[in-house]
Amino acid sequence: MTIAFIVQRYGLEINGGAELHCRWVAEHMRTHMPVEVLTSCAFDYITWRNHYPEGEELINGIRVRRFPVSRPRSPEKFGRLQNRILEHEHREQDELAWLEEEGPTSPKLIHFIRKNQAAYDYFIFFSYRYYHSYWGIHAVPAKSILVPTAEHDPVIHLKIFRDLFRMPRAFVYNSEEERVMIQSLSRNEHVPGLVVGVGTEVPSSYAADRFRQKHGVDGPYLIYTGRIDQNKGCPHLFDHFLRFKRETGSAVKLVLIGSTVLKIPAHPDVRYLGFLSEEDKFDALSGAEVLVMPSFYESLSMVTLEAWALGRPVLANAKCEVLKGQCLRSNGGLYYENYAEFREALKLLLSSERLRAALGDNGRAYYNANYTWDIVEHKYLKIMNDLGAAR
Amino acid sequence: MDSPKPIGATQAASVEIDYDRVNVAEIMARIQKAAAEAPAELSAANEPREAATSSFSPASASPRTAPPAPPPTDWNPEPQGAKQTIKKILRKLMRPFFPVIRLLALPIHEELRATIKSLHETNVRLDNLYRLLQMQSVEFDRKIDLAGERMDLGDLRLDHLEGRLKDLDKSMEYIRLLHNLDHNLVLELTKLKVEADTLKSKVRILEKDQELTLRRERALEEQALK
Repeated sequence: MTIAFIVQRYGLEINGGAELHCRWVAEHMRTHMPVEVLTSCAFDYITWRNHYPEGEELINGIRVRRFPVSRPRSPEKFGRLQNRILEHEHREQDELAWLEEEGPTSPKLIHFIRKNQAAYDYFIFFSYRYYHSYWGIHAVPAKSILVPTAEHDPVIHLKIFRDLFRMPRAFVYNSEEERVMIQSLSRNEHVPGLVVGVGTEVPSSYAADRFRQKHGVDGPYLIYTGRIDQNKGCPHLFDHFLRFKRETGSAVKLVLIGSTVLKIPAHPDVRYLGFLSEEDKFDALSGAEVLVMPSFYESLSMVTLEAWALGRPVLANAKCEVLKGQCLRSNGGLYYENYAEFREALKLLLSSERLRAALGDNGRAYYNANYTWDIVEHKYLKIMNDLGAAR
Repeated sequence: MDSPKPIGATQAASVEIDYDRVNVAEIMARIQKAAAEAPAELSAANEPREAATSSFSPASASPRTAPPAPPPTDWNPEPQGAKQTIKKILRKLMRPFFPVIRLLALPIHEELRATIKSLHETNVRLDNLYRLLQMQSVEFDRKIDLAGERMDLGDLRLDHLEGRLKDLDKSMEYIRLLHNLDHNLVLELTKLKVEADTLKSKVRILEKDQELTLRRERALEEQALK
């Protein structure tokens, strides 16, 4: 059995959620069957301009075939088209024009899939909203498996996607909430699907003291790791945290890890450490009292899973259904919808070491039961075996 | 069951937790209850501070440094007491310069007149546009009525067509019955023909039997006479 993973970008230096997810799954599935990756030559996700050379290369033992992007995205035109389809009456043609501008527009990739469909048993498409998934699934619906990585994004309501969700042979969902959302939108209950998600690479050793010494962090701290931007709810986190400090006089600090596009508030208890290595990140996570996830949109928060893998509790934004659902299913974290709930939940977490430990243990058990690589690989194999048996 | 112990200045809401079987939904229900009750307790202590520091956005950062706005007062345009006297003196002193001031204010006056004229013309244009809009609205209503009439006519035609369709359905039913009748008639006629053929065969056999009997009779008579 040979499978092809199709994703918008691919490379060791690409850390985007779906792209990293795809690379990890491909690298793990390689131990079970021959795997190839079909992708574009793009690196920049704003313009999809060709960056890598067209052709084949080996990345961590996987053959990667790159196809050129015929037309880079014009952000202005894309914004205009998106505005039209989201805010005005429009036709299906407008949605397809938007999709073409969304990119990465690579007709050669689609042509390759159509021409070589006999060489692969299954095509696993990542990210529903891009050109490669839409036209790729149209080219080989009978062999396609879709990993939608969908969030509560307004474009998911477009008609072209409602139709698309009824086409693949199977779905690999990231969370139960994602499955419910896609099924309620497209009524595609007849398409088989499993909630799988993704495993995570937890280093064999990690040390909170090493992190504290290296970065000069003392006392209890909350941690946020990830992109620091508006969409991730970081302004709310800053606001809530500073207000919490003023109202309660707590000595807790906030440690921020990741690249930022926002101005970090100048406060002695807010420590921004920039982009850290994986080792430093896990060291930091292991020493944190709580991981705070203020994001409004997540299809699967890898950082949350990493915190649970280390036995740390989570305080998540309840407006993100996926995070709230994971907290409830795992009993591994609390959540908040507004500042008052943030304050009460954080006060409770900081005041009870036993509660933090109990939530962390539950989170770890949830991670071990659902998100270790053995389980993830087994689920992917099960989907393909079930499809093979149904043929 | 155990209650969390507060550490330092952080006072947690009194939430009882079964640490052996932590249930996040239950804890959250209690937290939400505590959060809903808390604003009343906190508002008195935090209100002045909250107003200045509740948001991190730059737009809301400015109130942190700005002094609180004074309470609204009634504005009195007329100066009172000493102010009125000073105003009178100033007016007396400036009286010789009034023609010069008027001369200086002439271009502004002209400009004001031009602006007023322009505003008047704009008003006239607006009135004309409003009249035009009303006329078009009337025309639009008329067209809507016409379209409504056409729709009524279309409905009538549709009713007529539906009546014809019902007739057609009835005719089709009659034709189906006639077909059945034809079929049954053909069947019965075929049966009768088969029966007639059988009877004819029987008659032929009986004739042959009779002929044989006659021949035997004749032969027996000849033998008897001999």
